[in-house]
Amino acid sequence: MSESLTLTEDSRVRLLNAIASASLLWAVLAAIVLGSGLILAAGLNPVDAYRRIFEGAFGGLYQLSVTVRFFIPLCLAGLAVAIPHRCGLFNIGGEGQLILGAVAATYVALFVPAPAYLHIPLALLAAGAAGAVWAAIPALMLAYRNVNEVLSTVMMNFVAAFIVQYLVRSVWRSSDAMFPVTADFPDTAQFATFGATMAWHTGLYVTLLALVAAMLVVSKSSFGFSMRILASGAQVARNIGIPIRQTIVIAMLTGGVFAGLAGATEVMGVQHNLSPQFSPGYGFTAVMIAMLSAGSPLRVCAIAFLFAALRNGVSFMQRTEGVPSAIGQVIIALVVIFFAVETAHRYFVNRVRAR
Amino acid sequence: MTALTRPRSYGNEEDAIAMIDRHGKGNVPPASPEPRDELIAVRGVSKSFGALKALNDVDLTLRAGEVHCLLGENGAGKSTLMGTIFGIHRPDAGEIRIRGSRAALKSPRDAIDARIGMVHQQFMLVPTLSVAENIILGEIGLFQAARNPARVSRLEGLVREYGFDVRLDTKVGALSLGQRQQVEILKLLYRNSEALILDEPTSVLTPAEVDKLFITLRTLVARGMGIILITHKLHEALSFGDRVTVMRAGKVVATGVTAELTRPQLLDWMFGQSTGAQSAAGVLPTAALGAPESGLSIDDVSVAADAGNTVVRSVNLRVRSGEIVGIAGVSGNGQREFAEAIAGVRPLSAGSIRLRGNRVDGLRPRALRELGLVYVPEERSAGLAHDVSIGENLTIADYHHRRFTRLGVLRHKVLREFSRGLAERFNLPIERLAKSVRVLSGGNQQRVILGRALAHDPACIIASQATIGLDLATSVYVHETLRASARAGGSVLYISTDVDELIGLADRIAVMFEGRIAGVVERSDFDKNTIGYLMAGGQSAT
Repeated sequence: MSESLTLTEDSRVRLLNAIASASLLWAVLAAIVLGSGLILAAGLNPVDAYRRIFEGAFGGLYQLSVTVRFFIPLCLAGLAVAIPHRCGLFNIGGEGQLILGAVAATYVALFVPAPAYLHIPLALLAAGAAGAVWAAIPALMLAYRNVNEVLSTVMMNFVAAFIVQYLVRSVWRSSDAMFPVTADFPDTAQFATFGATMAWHTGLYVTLLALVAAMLVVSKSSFGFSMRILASGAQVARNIGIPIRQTIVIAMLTGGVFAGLAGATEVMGVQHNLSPQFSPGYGFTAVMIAMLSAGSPLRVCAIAFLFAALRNGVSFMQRTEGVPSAIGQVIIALVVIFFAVETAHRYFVNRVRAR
Repeated sequence: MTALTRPRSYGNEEDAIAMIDRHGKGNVPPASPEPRDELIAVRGVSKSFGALKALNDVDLTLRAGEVHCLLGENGAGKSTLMGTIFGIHRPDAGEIRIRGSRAALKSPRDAIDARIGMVHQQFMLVPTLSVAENIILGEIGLFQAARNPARVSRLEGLVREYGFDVRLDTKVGALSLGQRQQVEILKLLYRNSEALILDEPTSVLTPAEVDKLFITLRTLVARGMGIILITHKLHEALSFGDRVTVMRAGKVVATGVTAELTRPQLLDWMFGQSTGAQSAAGVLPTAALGAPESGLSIDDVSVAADAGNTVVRSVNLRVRSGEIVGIAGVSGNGQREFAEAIAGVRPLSAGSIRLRGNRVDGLRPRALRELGLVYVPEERSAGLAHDVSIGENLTIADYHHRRFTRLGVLRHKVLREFSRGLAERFNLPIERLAKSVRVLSGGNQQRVILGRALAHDPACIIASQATIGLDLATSVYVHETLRASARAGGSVLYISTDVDELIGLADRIAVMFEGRIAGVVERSDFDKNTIGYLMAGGQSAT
């Protein structure tokens, strides 16, 4: 089909891109409208409910700090999916890599005595390495045995979930807790909050550093360019000699590092211990974030912030208005579905036109 | 393969034309004497995809009781035509009549209801289900038992009647490709199809399975079915078909009765007055040739296809410095794998390759480029990264080089200068280098690929079908560029299915047939008949 395109269609391509960027906005609007119906059906006032979401997310410094607290792991986990997606890979295993990162950080925090200035860096290093190892297994299977990475990364999530269950319920379980949970981390292995009563913490630096690193990799590095070429098609990559296996493995490992760091920020900045359910599925939300952001780290950042705000605002709405949080979750899901429908629709229309 | 005495001159052509209904020469498509015999009649069908005219005023008639071979090169429009008959594409103009009445096929479902069946190149079977389950898959409801005795006994009857060697309870995944094809045909018989379309059915078969397929098809047409068999292999068209229709560039060139056709005639129809190759044949005083080992030496090279079967067998070839060697052959005779093997994209299974005396087999494309061996693949889409810009596409083979990457960081400025320089040299629109490569015309896309390949004045160029689909001006430009490279001391290996193009471009032509070099023809002996004869599997006189 590319042969039939001429230069005059350049403007049309640009128009399509513009529509694509706007479609997230439309998806949010459509979700708000449909969500209103649900809230009405629950016997509540949608305008109030939405105002509460906004207040909950941004209504004050404390509220904002809670939004940022969710943003920290969500942005990192979003990058963990978005970077492999740059070369056409689907890393659905962000959750597992995140869990393993948290496990490694916990190990360093609890069992590796280190001076204050080294403890956090060591824990982060361990977390990133653990995430990378967890991503390396599916990456190598894909590169050398052509095992579909979607399936293998999903499976690795389950293994990770049971590893953390095992550790927290038996070997690492704190004896003086009623629930399965480890002992609290020493202060040297905790991210301090900005302000005593606030929820945001210095793990934010990790996220921002990772964001800058991801942007540099994507736009400035030769590796980022290799990923883009590979995403254009394996055939051309093969013909011009892009090291395909190497690119696949490094892309997945980079994703694994980001996911591992996400796990570390959550346990070191928020929980200060490790429990089996410390992650409310950040790794899965990350898949949505990455898909909506089309591989651009800056958009990952923006959309992760949107999701963090929605999550925080929705739980605020539940506490103040009594709107069940399930409805809030539905609204978040609707955003994703509308966006996906819009994307699929455009794809379908293009295909029909080609007939 | 039936014996063909000698390539004949074209003296008999006129007689042959008189016997066939040649299209577009005022000969009205004959109103069939018994219209009820006409299973499918395609009349004046055209179909475009964007600016590409895939079908142009095409006529085709399938009669009951015949195997009708549809012959043509890749891209001639065969698959589009079949897609149109099978309801996958809707024609822009013209009509399709089925058993005399006009049919509006909106989907394959409509075609199946009209008793048309198609066996695709990729089989549409579920490997984890049994043969019987695969066949009745479409017609059972959600909660019905698959093992309905009436259905099964009807299937068993069909298997016996036509002598298929498949067991109904075997899982399809355990069957050979030949047996799977039988299951596909069985499926169509079970659905009472009267017209069968087989898309390149022999491409997956062993010779023995081909013979078996032949017998099956004969049995089917003896019972009044009609079969359209798509192929790009001449000998198949001649051995399988009752009639042959040749397509080229979206048009039907001619239809003839197989018994009255010869290979040279079919070759002429297939490759006839080809486009893009009329450039300056024979005017070039070729550059001084280097010593035999000065360029590319290919010794005893064998190559396997993706499926593991050997498709290039012990090929020996020299491409001297300053020389353009053409590889002719009907597509699918191993040319693609051969080119990929030399280009370092596909491993050799035996043999060695030397460039200017140094072993280069086993090296990857980046290392080969360093040594001066570059590759222009057959499809433009395989030579361009569609998600990166025009300018970046000029750099995708070089960006990793120390000149462009320091400590893993791209030097965008140097890269931009490099692509600007190439764009100037190869007449690309410099002001548009930041735009997507998708917006370029085919000709400009090919300039991008060539520009990238020739950026460092390579010692050896492997190029395949580099002018396909291009207008004359760009084709001439491509040829001139390759000639200039040879004049400057490069070796060029140019693979094409278009004999006229090769005659206009090459210094020598090697003909590939079934993975071997069937013969090498020197420029002084260039003759379409000789080359065509070798392409069709004839033996070289020497």
